[in-house]
Amino acid sequence: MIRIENLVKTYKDVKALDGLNLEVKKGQIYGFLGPNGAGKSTTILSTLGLIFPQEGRIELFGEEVFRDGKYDEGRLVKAKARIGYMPEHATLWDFLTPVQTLSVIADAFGIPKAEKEKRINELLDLVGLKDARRRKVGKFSKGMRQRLLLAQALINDPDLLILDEPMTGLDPTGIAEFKEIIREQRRAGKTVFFSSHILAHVEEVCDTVGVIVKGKLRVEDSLDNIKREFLRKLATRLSWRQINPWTSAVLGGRSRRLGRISTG
Amino acid sequence: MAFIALATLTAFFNLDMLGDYYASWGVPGLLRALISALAGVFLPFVVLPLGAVSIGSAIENGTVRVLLSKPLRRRDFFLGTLLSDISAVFIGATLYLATLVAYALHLGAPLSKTLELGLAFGSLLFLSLVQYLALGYLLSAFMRGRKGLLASLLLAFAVPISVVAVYPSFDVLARKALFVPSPLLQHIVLGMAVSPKSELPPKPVGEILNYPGNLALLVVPTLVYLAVSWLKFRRADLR
Repeated sequence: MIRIENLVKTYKDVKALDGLNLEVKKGQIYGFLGPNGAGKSTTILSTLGLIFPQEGRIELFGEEVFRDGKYDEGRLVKAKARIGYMPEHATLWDFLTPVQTLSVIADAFGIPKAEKEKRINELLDLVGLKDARRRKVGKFSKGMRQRLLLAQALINDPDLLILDEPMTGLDPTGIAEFKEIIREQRRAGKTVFFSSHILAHVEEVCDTVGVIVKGKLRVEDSLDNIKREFLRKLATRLSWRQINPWTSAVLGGRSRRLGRISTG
Repeated sequence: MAFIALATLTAFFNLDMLGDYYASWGVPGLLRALISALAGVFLPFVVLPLGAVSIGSAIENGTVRVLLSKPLRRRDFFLGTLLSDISAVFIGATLYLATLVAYALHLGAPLSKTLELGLAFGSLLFLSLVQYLALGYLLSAFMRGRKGLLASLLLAFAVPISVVAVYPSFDVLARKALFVPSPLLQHIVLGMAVSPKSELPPKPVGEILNYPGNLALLVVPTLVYLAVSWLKFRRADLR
């Protein structure tokens, strides 16, 4: 579904992506882990044609959409019709209601009116905004906005769902509901690619995890294998410094505790 | 919406002043006042910031990322935003002009003369409004968010001050200003074209448009501003 080869993106003097290689296969729930500033959002934005990497190659659904600084806009638009994207930070139109917001988004996909109304009702129900359907988005809490952003990402029943830090700002109930929605996508045979800097968010739902640190994919495997590998390296007494680049990303909040264990 | 509300309100609050202009100098006097009011207040302080924050704020708050992750091209987003802004300007300008023409008719101005001048100068004003909007787009292409807004407001102050500094005499202004690509100058000159002052009698619209470069000044900078804005936007990192 997504194939990225040797992607390089530099912002002024900061190298955000340093020859990134990554592949997301059909039906995978792929957790894209990494500390803040590792290049997760840059990777996602590149995939959607929203930023311009300097080098590399991107394929979506088997079609090359980007090569060496140039997007094929026709192919990209065609691919985007099959993608649902939820950004990390975004404000939708505060003066619209959720129904109006989703209607605007549905129009971008050219969804017919009857189908659009049905789909909007289903989605508001799914994300728990049914009772807020007539309220202005400007009066929504952070969690409600996140739910609406998820709903807009699902409006076209996408084959590939790309979520950038989707659980930020959600309460524990919201996170549990969110994970259930992702599992539903898996049951429906969809592909989900989502980023997070917190291990707990990708646990339970992802079958594959990729860890990006300083613009490079350091490790890619199932979470169980990654954990096993981490423990094996600990057992072979590698120094913390040698294993830290990816473990600190993978283990998130736990890294500090394990760090003390390994060094103490 | 803000533009429409301000335009209508200002027309309403200026009715007495406009009545005096009409009583003294007739329809040309009324239009002179209208053009000066628009040039002095609406163009710099409303339309320029509107253009400056239009695309910039969509990038800042992430709306553009949501929209362009859908099967839309950047061109669609740019043109869609521009057209909606132009529509807002058009509605605001039309309401403003309609209020003034209605008021002129209420004062007893001849219908055909009022409509002719109102439509002619209304069209020219609209072109200049769009030029200010385009200037705002140009600013936002280089400065996002509050920076762009601040720059547009500074420009809005700077233009009228520089006009007064450079052209102390209205007569000199009328003869020379058309060669300077500033929307505000165009408005002052267009205002002078229907000036009630005896030394600068009202001129037919055709003659005003025949000033060397006048119509080009209303259109060409707009196209240049928009072209540069588009070229920047089509390669911009929308993060």
